[in-house]
Amino acid sequence: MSIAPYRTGALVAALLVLQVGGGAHAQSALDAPTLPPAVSEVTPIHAVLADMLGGTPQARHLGITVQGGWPWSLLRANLGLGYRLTLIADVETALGRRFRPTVGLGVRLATHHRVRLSGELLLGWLVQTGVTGRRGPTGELRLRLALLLGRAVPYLVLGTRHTLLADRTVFERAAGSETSWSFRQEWTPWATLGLGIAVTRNFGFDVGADYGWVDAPQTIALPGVHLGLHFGPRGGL
Amino acid sequence: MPRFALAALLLSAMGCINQDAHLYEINLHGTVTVPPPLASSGALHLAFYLANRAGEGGLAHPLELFERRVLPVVGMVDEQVLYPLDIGDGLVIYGYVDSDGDGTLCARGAAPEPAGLTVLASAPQHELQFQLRLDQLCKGPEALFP
Repeated sequence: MSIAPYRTGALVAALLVLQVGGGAHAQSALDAPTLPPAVSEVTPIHAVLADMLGGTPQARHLGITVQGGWPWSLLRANLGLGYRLTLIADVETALGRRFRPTVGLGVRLATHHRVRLSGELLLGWLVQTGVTGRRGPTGELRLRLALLLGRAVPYLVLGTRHTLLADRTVFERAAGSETSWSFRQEWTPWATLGLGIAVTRNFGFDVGADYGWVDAPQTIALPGVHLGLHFGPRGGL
Repeated sequence: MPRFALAALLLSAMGCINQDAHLYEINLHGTVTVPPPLASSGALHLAFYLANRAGEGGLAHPLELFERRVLPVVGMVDEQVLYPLDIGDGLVIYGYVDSDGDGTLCARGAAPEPAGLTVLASAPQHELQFQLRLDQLCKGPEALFP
């Protein structure tokens, strides 16, 4: 049995058509997701904790943390700016006597589906009331490391805080008054170790131990504990 | 008025002065004497106190030390001290002769040393005169004041 040349050409042409058609079909399948997939397909359950404990949410995603504890409590907002950057604003207090409002930037240093590592730089003002009152500009450099293990997110925060304190001395001399200024620094190394639990993609909580050594090394530090509630991410801002 | 109070509160909170000390310069001119037969040889240790330290309740107490001096001999004294204006009032000068040179008033087993104290009621003034008589043996300032 032999196949006529014209029949062979027709068969090849048919195969080519089928191939091209199949390829086109496959290509259209790749282009198909023009509609956003369901949220559950793209947002992991730990999204809120990854953003708030590990830092650096996606662009235009906002997260809020409300944390209460002894002695440290805080209110924090993270807004993703894109390009791995985050705008951070937080207000921290110790027993209602020491307040530290700050704003700053966070940057995602490393990302993995199981790990989130961020660096943060915050600038603000310290106000401490009472007989040991202190006030002055303050800054903090902070590293956040979170392990994304499904609903459980263990995390570690390491920071170094520096506050510039200005002192004034007025000398009342017979010839008149004379004023001199001196400056000192308050250093507060910081560590927080905690565990976050995701309840939903937009809500989670964490418990953690805080170790803030205020005015180290000439003081002692008492460890603290906190419970944090985390809300977000909310996109499309 | 509430606006001014709010502004004052805000400025107070956002101010940047922490320790704010006011020191009043006083030139002290005086004579320190030791009546015989007490030993007058040795270094003269002087200590300058606020008579009353500001405080509330149990935190209020007399005698807040603010300066010390050691002079080689008993006699004429011309010293300048910086008197803190904000933490108390009154000026007390206490002195003793360190006759055995151990740097301590009447150490155990050592010979008794003369001490004395005077209160300058007119402080603070930039120029003050005083007389200090060291006629008490082995007494610290707390035993002599008030």
